[in-house]
Amino acid sequence: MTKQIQNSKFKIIILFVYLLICLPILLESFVYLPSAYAQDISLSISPPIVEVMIMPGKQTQQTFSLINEGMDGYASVRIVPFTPEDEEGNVNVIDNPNFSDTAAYENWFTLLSPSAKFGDKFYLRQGEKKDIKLSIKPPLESKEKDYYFTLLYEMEPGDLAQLDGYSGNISKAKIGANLLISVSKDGKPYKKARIAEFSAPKLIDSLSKLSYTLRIENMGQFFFKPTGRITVNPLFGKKKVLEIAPVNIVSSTVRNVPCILEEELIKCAYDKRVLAGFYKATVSFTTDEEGKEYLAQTTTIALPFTIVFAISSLFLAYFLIQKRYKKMI
Amino acid sequence: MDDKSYVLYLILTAFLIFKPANGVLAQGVIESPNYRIQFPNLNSGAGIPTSTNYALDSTLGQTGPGQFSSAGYIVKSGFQYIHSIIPFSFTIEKIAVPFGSLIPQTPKTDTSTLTVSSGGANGYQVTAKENNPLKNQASADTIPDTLCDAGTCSQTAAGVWSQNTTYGFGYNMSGNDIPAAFVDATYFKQFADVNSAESAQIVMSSANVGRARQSTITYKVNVSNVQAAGIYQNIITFTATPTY
Repeated sequence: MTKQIQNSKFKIIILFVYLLICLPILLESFVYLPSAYAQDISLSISPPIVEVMIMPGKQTQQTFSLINEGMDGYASVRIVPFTPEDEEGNVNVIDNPNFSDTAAYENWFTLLSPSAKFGDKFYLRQGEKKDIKLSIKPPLESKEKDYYFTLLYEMEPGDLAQLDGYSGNISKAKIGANLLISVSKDGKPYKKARIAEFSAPKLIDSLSKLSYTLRIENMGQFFFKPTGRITVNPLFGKKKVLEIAPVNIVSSTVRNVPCILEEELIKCAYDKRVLAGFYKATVSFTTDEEGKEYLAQTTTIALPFTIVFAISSLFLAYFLIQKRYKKMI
Repeated sequence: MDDKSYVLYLILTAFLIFKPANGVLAQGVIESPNYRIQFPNLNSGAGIPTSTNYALDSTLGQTGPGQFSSAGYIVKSGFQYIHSIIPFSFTIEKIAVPFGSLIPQTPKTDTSTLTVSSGGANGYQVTAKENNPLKNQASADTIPDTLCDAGTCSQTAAGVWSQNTTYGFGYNMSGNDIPAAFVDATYFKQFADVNSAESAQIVMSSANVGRARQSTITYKVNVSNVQAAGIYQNIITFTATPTY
């Protein structure tokens, strides 16, 4: 009997030790199981854009926050030049490690953390946030002009081995944040713009909406934001003011400039149905709220084509019916 | 169960628990060609903006007129006219797309979902490119990128691909912010081939701020009777960039 009790005690102690050691492992397995199964990549970066005006030889620092919302994996960051892709502000990232232009700017940037070198991999768990501290220092001999880059954040959670011997493909994801760097000795770079196009239909129907196209060209070597408005003065009715979105227009490019309403980029349009008459619109803006004011005008004639057509059709139908009715009598 | 067996049993089970599970958890399950696990989009942005290390539309190095000359720089973070604190984010659901066994003249398709949130980032675009056409790593044989039914498809031009006698590898896009060339589910394009110096092509783009913009990419492969047997694989790289 005593031996049986001792035996039971021994078993309980062993079981206790067993649970003490194994339970945390089992719990951890349950906690991390979903991420192990999650075959997705989810990357976030902020801020999405950084604008720097800096003297040659001076240094500044910028922090970018990276978040990994996908599966655990190795992350890396690189800085590559970009060229403007279109008139909408999209970038054409020169994402070729062998491209000579990339090497030309290597000494501009230093990665302060989390790794010492661009392209070095660091581990990011699911949900983890990592701050990338970047030092920017254009060499003393840098020319006074703009330089454009994209900081690329890449996750490499998998490789072809994940296909387990099947034909197929593996996806990789990169996300970018743009860096617009103006190198200037005095902080007052010369900015020059040109209105490449300010247009609207010359003749429209009274029931249609009146929208404007504004394309601005940057003829200088430094990016700027147009600050201004489009003022629409109708012959009858109240004038309407449309705020131009202060989007960046980078050097030697033309950008299609939208309007802005409560932080939403919208098409520059007279949002009410226009009445018959003349609609004279004037665009006026400055570059970065300073210097010369740029002006252009366009006039639209609105005529009630639809209304006239509808009334004419009604009259025609009325006369036809009346004529037929008279014949019947 | 005697004492020795009992202790042995506990030691064995403990060993099994401690045994590294890397690869077992995910690989065996997800690479199965028989089913697909759908995951929720984790990209909500809610709760994310409380970062202490960045401030959208912040300005450094300029506390007053003339300060540039003393500090030597001005730094502006974020778009000054958009105060959204939703970070720019990009998600690919399902990164491994195994086609299973390829049977001649029997097209195989599979899908993946792309999601972009550009709350504080104005507009955006996502581009795609392949490292090479589907390639047998051992023999270097390839399944060429599709030319579609009319033989006119390229990385820039889409075309109808519906015949089982049209071979190759390509993709279709559906959903938000996709190129207009993908008229319907029968229209396919080639991936831009980095090996052939082709430029990455846009698969999603928008000039406006958006949240959880989602599209579906459908991968399609079809092989002929003369295609050499083997395992053909490649890597597709998606790059999401905000507008400037």
